[in-house]
Amino acid sequence: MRADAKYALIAALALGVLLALGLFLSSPLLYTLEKDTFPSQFHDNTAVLKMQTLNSTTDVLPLMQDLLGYTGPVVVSIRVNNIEQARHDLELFAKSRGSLNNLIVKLDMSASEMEEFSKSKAMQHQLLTELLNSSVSLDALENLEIRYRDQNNPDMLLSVQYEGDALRKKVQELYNQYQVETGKVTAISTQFGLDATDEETGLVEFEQYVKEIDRNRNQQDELNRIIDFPIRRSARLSFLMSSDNGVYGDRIECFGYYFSLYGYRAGGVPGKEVTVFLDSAPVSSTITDELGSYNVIIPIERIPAGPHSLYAQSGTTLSDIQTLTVQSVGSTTTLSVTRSDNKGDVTCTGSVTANRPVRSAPVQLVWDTTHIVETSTDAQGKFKATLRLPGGKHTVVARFFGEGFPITPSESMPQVVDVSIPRIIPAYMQIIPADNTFGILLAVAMIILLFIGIAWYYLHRLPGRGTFDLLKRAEASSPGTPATDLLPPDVEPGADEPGQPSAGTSPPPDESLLARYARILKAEGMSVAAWVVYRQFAGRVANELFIPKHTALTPRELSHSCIQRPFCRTFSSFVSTYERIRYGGQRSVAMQEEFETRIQSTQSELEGGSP
Amino acid sequence: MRTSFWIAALVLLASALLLTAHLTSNTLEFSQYNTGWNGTSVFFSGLDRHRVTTVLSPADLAPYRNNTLLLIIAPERLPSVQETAAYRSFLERGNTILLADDFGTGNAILRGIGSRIVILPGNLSSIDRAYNDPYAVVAYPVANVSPVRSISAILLNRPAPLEGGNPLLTSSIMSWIDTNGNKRIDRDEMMGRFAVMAREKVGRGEIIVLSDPSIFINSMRDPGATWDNQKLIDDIVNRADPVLIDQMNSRTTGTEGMSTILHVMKTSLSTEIVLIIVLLLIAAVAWKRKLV
Repeated sequence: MRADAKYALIAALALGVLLALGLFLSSPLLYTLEKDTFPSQFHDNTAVLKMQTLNSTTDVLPLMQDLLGYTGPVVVSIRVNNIEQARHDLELFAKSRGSLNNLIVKLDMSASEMEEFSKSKAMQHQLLTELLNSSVSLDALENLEIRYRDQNNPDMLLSVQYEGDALRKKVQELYNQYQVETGKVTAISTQFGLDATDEETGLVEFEQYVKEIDRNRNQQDELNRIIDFPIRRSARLSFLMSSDNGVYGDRIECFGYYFSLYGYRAGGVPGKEVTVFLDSAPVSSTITDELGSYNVIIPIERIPAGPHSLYAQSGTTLSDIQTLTVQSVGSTTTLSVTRSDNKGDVTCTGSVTANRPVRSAPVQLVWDTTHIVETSTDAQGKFKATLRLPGGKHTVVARFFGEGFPITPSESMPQVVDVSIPRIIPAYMQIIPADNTFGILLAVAMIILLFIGIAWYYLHRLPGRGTFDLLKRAEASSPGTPATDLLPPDVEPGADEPGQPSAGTSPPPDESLLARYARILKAEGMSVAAWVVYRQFAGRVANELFIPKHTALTPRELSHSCIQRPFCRTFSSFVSTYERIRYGGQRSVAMQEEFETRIQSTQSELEGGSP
Repeated sequence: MRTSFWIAALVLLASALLLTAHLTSNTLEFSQYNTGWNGTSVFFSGLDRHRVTTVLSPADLAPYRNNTLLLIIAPERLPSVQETAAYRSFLERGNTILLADDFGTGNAILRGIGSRIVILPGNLSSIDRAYNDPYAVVAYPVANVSPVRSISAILLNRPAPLEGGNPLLTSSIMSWIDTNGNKRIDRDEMMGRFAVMAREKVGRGEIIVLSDPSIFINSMRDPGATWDNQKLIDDIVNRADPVLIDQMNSRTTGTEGMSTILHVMKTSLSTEIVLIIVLLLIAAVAWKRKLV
């Protein structure tokens, strides 16, 4: 195949490849994850799934079994009045429940028995928390009852007794609900093969506790019969607090009883609106229940440290004033800053805690000590804000001043952020607009043009052509020059042929072919001498016929390529004799004579054919 | 010259290999010519050709009696009367059929041979999984018999639940049947333990049903050291008694394009002979030209 045709074929193939690539311009990925993740009813491609090894026996069921172990001990602790232990166990219970909840969310099991189990456990936790608070209140009421009995204060004694009755009733309701939830938990536990003994123990303990507080009430009734109630006819509003001091986050339970005295009988007044005042400002309102009791919770949040007055009012009836002392606590403010984006925006996140998360707390984000951005914490005591900073290094701190809170101010550790904003490349610098199809096509066209240019350059510096030129020049200057002289510079004579003439056989100037043949025949033998003559004639023939790289052809191939020229027949005979000497190993005198005859006739024909 | 020749030869050889690989492969589900994730090329290439025989027609089952295992993987069409009769007769001669199917026509085969095992509809889902996908179910052995005697757990890929028979492998208690295919548990989907491999005596033989043929696909062959998929497959096919693989009614025979031609050439003796003759003729012509 001619060199031009070869290069044209390669160019066509390359162009075809480029055009084929052009078909994928709109979706350049030949193999994408989406293509390999076709929907199948039989299976999913695990290569595209995220590893998440889970074993219910080791990862889920133990967690559920742990949760079953908390409730019993909590009830026992409440029953024996070990409040601190009960609180501690409840905290652990809540944490463990949180782990199960996280797992349920992670596994998307919100409609499963696991979720029902978790919900029942949450309800149990809530019921036990209320039971704990009621237990504490009952203890406080018992103490107050003793005190008022000692003081012979029938108003307050009656109020305390009614409050106690309300609490006992509440405990009974808690027990009823707890029984229901425990039933659910036990059923699910049995289904999963879990040991629910602690649940049953907790329920039995709860029941015992309810019976005990009823028994205590009966004993107190016996004692109170000896109290002599005065004759009055007026409305009274009692006001009691679960604790007269607290810190941020504590919840102060305020309760009391609205009643009227008729002689020796006291009757609760239901449906009365009662408002609780803190430092003369209303903080909460509620309605008395069917017994005339009321109950409100006042969380200590944005209340400054120090003593505060608290009382209740219903219509014109005022309660006694109580004093709540709020103590100050220390706080901790944290801050973390993300790396900046291209615009210089950084996201600041952090939290403010004072024993527990500080809700709705104002936080100042101060960068480089001069610039202030204000934000506030959410219900979880966390804050998040975005700052746009100029390029360079900046220091950011978060400050909580604690104004209005019973909390001391705090400041986060300074965070250093290095903002680097990349320069925007001018429009004229964008040679190829990446998001522009026209730009992509332009780029492809440029590549094609570049390729054509390179191909054109290659076609005009064909080695074959160089060879022809050299042959012609060599022939013009010296018709009898040996073939080795006619080869292009990059082709070593005999590089692919064994038995080439040794270095010591370099031809003298103006040496004829036959003289050279005779010299090499004498020095190196018949085979090498024949080879030298063949190379001479081969170069001539290739030159005549414009055959590039003729040294890549075998003598027979070159002979077959020689057609439609007068010297071809003679050259073919020469090649035949040459092959017999060179490859057939014939070295007889007759053969030598025949070869020399062929040399003369071929040389004669070649010289006659190239005037 | 020689360097150019060798480079060209290498490029041509590589191109030919790539072209062959490309043309002879496909993407059909369970196809033994599919080298992708959902093919069974690895399973079939790993079979011991001396002991494993493919069954191409009902008549091929006739010579086997006593303890021969016939493996039916992912049947794709309803079995013919002849096939069903051959299966039944095969069992009557004291052999075993292992049917691996989830959403194919396995139930028709089971009914045909008189088994009471039923492949239930719906995707079996579980908390016990290997990926963030409830269909990647881990199953555990519940019986100490072959072929599950030596395995501790296997990973399945979209299995179906089974009903009936004696369970060999079951899911964990925290599993459910995802009847509506939303990949999450709903209020009407109850948790429980479900069989994924069960066996039953039928006549003098035995039928074993595995409700997930996907354990034979390339991507599930060896999903990790934690699961014994490879071991289970080895225990099924590497046995002293003969093993037959059903190629009458199985998605593993799926072909398309060039792979169909190659499949025909490989499985048809006359075509194979013709091909060999043609190749020999080409070689002879080339040799003659060289001599000339």
